[in-house]
Amino acid sequence: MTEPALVRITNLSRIFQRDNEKVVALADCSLEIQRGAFLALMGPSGSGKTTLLNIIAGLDRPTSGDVEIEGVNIAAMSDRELTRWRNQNIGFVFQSFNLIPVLTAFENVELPLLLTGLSKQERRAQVETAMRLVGLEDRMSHLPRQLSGGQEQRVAIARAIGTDPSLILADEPTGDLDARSAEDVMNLLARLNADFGKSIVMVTHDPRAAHHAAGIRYLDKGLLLPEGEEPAG
Amino acid sequence: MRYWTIIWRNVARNPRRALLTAVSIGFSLFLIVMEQIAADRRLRLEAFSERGYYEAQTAAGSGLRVLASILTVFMGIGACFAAMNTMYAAVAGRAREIGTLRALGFSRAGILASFMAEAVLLALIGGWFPARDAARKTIVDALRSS
Repeated sequence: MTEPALVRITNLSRIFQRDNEKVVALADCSLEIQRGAFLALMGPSGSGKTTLLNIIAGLDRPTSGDVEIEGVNIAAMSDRELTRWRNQNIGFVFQSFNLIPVLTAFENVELPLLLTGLSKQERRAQVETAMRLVGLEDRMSHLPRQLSGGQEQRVAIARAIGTDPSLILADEPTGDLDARSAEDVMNLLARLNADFGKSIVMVTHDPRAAHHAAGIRYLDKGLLLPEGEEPAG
Repeated sequence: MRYWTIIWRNVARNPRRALLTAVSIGFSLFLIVMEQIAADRRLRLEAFSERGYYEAQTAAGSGLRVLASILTVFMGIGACFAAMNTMYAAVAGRAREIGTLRALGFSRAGILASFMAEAVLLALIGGWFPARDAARKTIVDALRSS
């Protein structure tokens, strides 16, 4: 028997209603992502990549279609269940880092762990492991504004892996970074994938960032193009 | 819970906003307490003596007092709106933060509660002292005049 895919999306559509206009963000997408994959989603602005990522994260709901993650249909979950599920199974990395400005690096990484019922010592151990992994063990008591952009993003990655999720989702993780920091962040993500077997789905504009991924899929105007195909022009 | 850390540090980071909220809430509480106690005193005065009652009725201050009451109510409502506005700005300014917390798996209820806690905290700080002083002053005045 084959192990079920980590993510299985079938006939997914997402239509936004803007006043009287219907905007089709995603049209009938089907996609399977295997455990241990490192997939980059690319495509022009408005092609639906972020919508797809948000739906996989359970931040947005499909208009129609099914999203199964580890065999669980998240489209059928209630908001409360989904929130809990997200905390345990998804690590999210944003373009603009989104650390809480009044909390130190340590406290930011600890934040999602507060919902897990771990003891204080266990949480501390998890945070320290994650911070060591991203190479910022000496920056734990720094506030976000005392860190560089690249360091902030590494703290955000530490926050994403702190709960040991099965899937890391990254939305333009290098979008706000200079070339050098972007390279650091991408190397870190690639290492998490190769050495720790973390499955990663990343949305990006940056071909250099996508180069680190094991596979690239393109979206164009809400359509997921077949494997190996790029949008024309 | 870490919510309290976030609340305290947000208050410390933006003391002007916190003060404004606290003062507006405090001011409205002050007015409400004044009004309550004054109303209570008028009721008690009624029971005093017939002479006192007619004195109060014929006094030129009677119309003025009604006017003052109305003014108090309107100013109280105004202060409530001011407090609401500053809290609203505080929430709007942290929309991104709220989104992040949601993405990390925090519940809507928890985040709502943390903002409520912040408002209540400011209301207690801003409301306690003026309300206490208002109560003390009006009670002392009432005792003196009776």
